[in-house]
Amino acid sequence: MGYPGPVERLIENLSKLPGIGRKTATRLAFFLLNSRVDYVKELSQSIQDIKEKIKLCSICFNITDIDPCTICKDQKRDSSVICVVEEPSHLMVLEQAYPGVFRYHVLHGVINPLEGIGPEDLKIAELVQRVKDSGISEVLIATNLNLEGNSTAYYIADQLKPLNVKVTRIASGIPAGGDIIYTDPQTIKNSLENRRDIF
Amino acid sequence: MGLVKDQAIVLKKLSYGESDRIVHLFTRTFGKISGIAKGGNKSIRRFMNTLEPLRIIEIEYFDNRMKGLSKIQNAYVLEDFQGIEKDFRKFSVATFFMEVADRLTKEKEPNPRLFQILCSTYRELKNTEVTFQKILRLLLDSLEVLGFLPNFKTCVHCNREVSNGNKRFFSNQKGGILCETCARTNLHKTYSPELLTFFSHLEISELKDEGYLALAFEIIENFIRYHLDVEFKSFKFIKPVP
Repeated sequence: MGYPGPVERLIENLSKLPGIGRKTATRLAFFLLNSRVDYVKELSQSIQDIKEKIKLCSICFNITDIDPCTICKDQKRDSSVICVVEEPSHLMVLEQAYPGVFRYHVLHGVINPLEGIGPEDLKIAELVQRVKDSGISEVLIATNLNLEGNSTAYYIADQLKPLNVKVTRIASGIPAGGDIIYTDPQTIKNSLENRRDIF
Repeated sequence: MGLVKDQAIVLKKLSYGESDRIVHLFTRTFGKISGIAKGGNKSIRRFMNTLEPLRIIEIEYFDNRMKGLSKIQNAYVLEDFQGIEKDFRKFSVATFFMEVADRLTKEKEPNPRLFQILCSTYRELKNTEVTFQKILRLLLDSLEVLGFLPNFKTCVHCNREVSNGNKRFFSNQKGGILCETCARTNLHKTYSPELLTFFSHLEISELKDEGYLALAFEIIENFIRYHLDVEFKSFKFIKPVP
């Protein structure tokens, strides 16, 4: 004998979430069954809201509920620099570490031919247009420092070349708290090439 | 089997859970294997910058014959082809050959010649300019060592030798050229004898006409799609635009 229909349906839907198997889904379903009604209502409303109210900012393509987003509206930020990131989650990480400085542009992915993702599938053309239209003097590319991220960075730099804008890349090297002994040769090479003055 | 040490090339990487990485590797000795690198996505000590494509690496792994995924213990870079990613076209070609090796081979089928082709593809891409002729030649070489090269020498129906001037009929279904007699009864497409002769001698570097090049890519793409039921995701980035 199975669970009553609504419980079974909830378990089925919860087990579609990443990292959630049927066992965990069952535990979550029973937690919800035993929770207060207002909590369950609030949870279901917030799930519905992210589908209904969240859209992409028309300037930076970050996820937002108001257009333009709060970052693009913020007049205190440096309007001459755009920081290019892969995903909205990357933007949040940069913003938490270095708040209130940059304006951003979210690509929504990186070039990955293995997955059939080319430049036209990303917001690269929009970035080039944005640089053309506004007085931006520097584009800082903060995609991941892996093969796909680097390939995307070089492609963007290539596209921006005719616009005579300064294109920079986030630095790479030995991480804070890292140990030279355990660092791979490529990272050591990068850190030596990207060395900087102490004062 | 205990700890195995081998040379390998990363064909594909997938994140698994919070910090692990599953990789498809093409090894010099055992062909394709799939392995899991615990902490491969996070560990800055063991796998940082090693379990990545465009490198020849040395790996140590426990071969898990029963469970499928081998457990990767260590990886070191032997030869690095960094710089290929700076050029979108070269990067696409490199990833295309990774896709070919990944999707046209089965696990643990040794193919040291394909390993060599992958290595020389990376070296050529790093050191020289990429041309459509070069891509086609490397693709035909790969298909040949995999045993999937279409027959451009003899008629695939009656097995008779076809002279260069008469190589005009290509049957995708039969997997090669047809002689004039067999072409009457078999489904085929007609091409210029010049194009099919280039194929039969694998003298693709001599193929200069852009229209022929586009047709050559089309023949191979259709052949792979029909016989191997494989649609390469990266193919659209490397073929000539007609």
